[in-house]
Amino acid sequence: MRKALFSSQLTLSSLERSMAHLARKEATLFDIFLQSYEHEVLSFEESKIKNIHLVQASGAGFRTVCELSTGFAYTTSLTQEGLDNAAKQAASLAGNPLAHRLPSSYSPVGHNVKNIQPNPLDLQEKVALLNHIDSYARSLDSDIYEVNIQLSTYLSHHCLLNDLGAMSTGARPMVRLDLQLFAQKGEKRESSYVGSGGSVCWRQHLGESFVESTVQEAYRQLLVAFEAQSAPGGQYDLVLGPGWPGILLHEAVGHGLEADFNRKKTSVYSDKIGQRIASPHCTVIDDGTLKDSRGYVGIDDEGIEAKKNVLIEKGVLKSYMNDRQNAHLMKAALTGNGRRESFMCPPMPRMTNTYLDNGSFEHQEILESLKDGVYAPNFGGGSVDITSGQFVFTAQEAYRVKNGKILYPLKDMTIIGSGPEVMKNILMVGNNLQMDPGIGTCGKNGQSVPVGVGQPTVKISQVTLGGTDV
Amino acid sequence: MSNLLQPALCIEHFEQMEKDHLEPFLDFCLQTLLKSGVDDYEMNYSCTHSYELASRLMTIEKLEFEEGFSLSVTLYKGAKKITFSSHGCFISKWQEQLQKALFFLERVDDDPCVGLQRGYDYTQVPSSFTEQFYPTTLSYTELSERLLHLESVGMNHQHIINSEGASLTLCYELEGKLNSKGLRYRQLHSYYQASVALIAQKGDLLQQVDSCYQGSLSDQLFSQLDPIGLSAQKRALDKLSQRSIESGSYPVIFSPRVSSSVFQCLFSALSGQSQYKKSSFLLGALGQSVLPSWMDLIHQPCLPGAHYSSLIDSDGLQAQEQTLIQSGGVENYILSLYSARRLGLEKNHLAGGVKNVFITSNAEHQQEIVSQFDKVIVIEDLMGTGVNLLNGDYSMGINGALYENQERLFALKEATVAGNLKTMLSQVAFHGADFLPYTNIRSGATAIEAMTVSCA
Repeated sequence: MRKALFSSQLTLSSLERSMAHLARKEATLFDIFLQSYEHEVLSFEESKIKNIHLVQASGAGFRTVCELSTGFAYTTSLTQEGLDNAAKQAASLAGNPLAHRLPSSYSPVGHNVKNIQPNPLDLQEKVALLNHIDSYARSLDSDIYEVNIQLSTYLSHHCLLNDLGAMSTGARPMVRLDLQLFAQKGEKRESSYVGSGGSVCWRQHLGESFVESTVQEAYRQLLVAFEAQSAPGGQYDLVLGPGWPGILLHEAVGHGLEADFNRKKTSVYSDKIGQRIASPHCTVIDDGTLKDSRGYVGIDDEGIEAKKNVLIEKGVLKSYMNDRQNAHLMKAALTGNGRRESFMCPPMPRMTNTYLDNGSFEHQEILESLKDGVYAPNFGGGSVDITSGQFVFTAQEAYRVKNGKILYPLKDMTIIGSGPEVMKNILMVGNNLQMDPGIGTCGKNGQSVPVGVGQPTVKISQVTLGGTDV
Repeated sequence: MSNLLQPALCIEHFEQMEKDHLEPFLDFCLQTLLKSGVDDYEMNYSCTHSYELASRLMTIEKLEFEEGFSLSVTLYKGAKKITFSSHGCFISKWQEQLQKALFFLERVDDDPCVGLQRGYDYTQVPSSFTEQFYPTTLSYTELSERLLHLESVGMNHQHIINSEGASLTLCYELEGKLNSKGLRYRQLHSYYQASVALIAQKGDLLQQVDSCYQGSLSDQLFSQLDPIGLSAQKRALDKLSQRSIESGSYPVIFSPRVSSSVFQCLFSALSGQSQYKKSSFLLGALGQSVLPSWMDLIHQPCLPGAHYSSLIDSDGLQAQEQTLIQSGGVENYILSLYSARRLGLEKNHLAGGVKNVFITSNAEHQQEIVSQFDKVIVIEDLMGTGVNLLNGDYSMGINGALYENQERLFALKEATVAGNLKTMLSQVAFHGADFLPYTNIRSGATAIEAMTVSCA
């Protein structure tokens, strides 16, 4: 970690010296986040390595918070002068520059280290793997005319110093595989997408059984796409499958429970701690400690230990997700949800792995209870207006259901609704909780962070579907 | 920023960054690449100096200062290519990356379509474009006053009960492109943006939020903030009292704020990449009719005073005005050198996408278009990701309103709009001249004859 972050020019002492410009007495809190990361993306198309893109970045972000106000600056100029200038910029709003409260020393608060060193020789093995995925996919059907694969590996090292005298260091790996199949049958062309990833080394994630199951799943979805018919428009009962459809929770209620929105009272869930905001079947958890998951945090980007936070318990709102600033302003306990995209951004309350806990129903039981509606086991992306609670997302795979029987697949269906209403209209929750395959990326205020979502099978009454068949 | 009365962004500091850090670093990189054994190379760099000030409820809540460098390098050797990029001017880290890239370059598969343009005189390309740079003298104190004024204008209404905040952003950016065949291009521009998001509530109705933002090359924008605050106020108020309508087929109008997204789908479908990958709902559309015959779309990349203007495309070829669509028919795909070679077509200097696209209009503004319909849905915002560029299927959440006999009746509750892009584009009934001035695709209000609208 030290070799990745520091050099003869940039040492821990350099950071400590620049802290002197940041450490204003009037500040509520302050921190320095030094980071160095590498990102490698292999693009495999037309049965060959099409492109390799390598990214490297190193820099430091400086933050000072005085109650409601935040000063932030980052620099990629990691000389003492560069660090000091950025520290002074960040401290501009924090009052008297001559009054300090510098920590006397820094103590480690936990170390998220995984011994992973990027090795260029990995490339041969990665290329062999991608060739295997490509040839296996093409062998399944001669109508498949293109296989696009992208393998992304990421490794970040960071060191945080803050006003509490804490020093948090860590190394975070991330891997992600994206697979797209394109096929033409007669005049019709369709595609499918499957992805998978986690906060692990790529070798740990991409074993032999993974290849077969992933490609077969992509092919299955491709065949479904060719059979898909226009989706209905209007209000219907909806059954969501386990795993990735947990994005519903992420949009419908997750963002609305981030503390900054609730502190400002711009969330539809503001001032509702202790009140029933969801069906009694619902217990919603945000957990940054799930090892190897995409949303794994361990120690968050403010040096606070991540936790398993129960946000909603049997329908009653228990907690928001906060960062240090909002926890201070709301006089709430820290939850370890202070996250940032990189050193170029200040942290703010973000989700980690957010899921609906198990209920008691069997999956088949829930499906058979659907008299006239839609079953959606797979989703695309979504978004939310946290003030009104309105959310939207796209179902990547869905089926028309009548009297508990699946009739035919539907294409590209949009689901729109109100988060509070949907959460109250959850009628049945299954006992088959699954997390998503590790592909979630959440955007907020221009920052993207990796997240996990999950749920069991769920039935919801009267949701608005956007299709052309009305 | 030791003195709150000094300019928030300091041009001298920016120029010093370029001279003391960027130029020596680039010189080192160029010298190193010359000795690296590659056949050709391209370098893209940027140096950014920016400042954002944000307030909420009349309190300055955020000051963010950004100063950074980034460099992206593409190496070519024979029929092989690799790209690497870095943030910051660290010679040792860049050298490590270069070694890794050279190692990978030997192991990438051959692709005969990669490479710079052979026989093109890159030295004739203009070397500098600085007509988009308007430095500011506004200090932190002056900016704070204007920021608080922006929010107060918007909040000055009995039904505006809260604010997500307002922000002013200032940015200087230097971008450049070099290559092994003598291209030396440098472009300097400034950018200023103001935005505000307000929350309305009336009685027991659900609270609603909406925003307004505007950008400009000049800080004169910060002397004209009232319309932005008032627009955000109106948009938030207009969202109150939402009601449902019967799901069915309706004519729809995409307002100027969102209409460019429809034309962006068109350009994505006409990109060279989507054509050679066969992932376009307009596959093989060159020469075919995709829009009504009264519509032309013209690309004007070098327009003075426009934020997106550039004298080169992203392959380093000199930018040219192009007719993309003429009388509704496709005149040009959006081609890079690579996709032109893949498709066996002539290069057309459109690498990196379209810039400053002007679209024929047959109406002055949205209100005139509304008057053409007895009943019409006006889409004010789009939500979601339901666009399938392979087959053109389109299904999005909307914030919109029902208009009848030219009168706005009410906002729609939980509404979606669905259709197919190929049909939508062929059924553009009206296009207004009321485009927003700071946009890349200058599309005004755009009416589509019929789409399916579903409501709660």
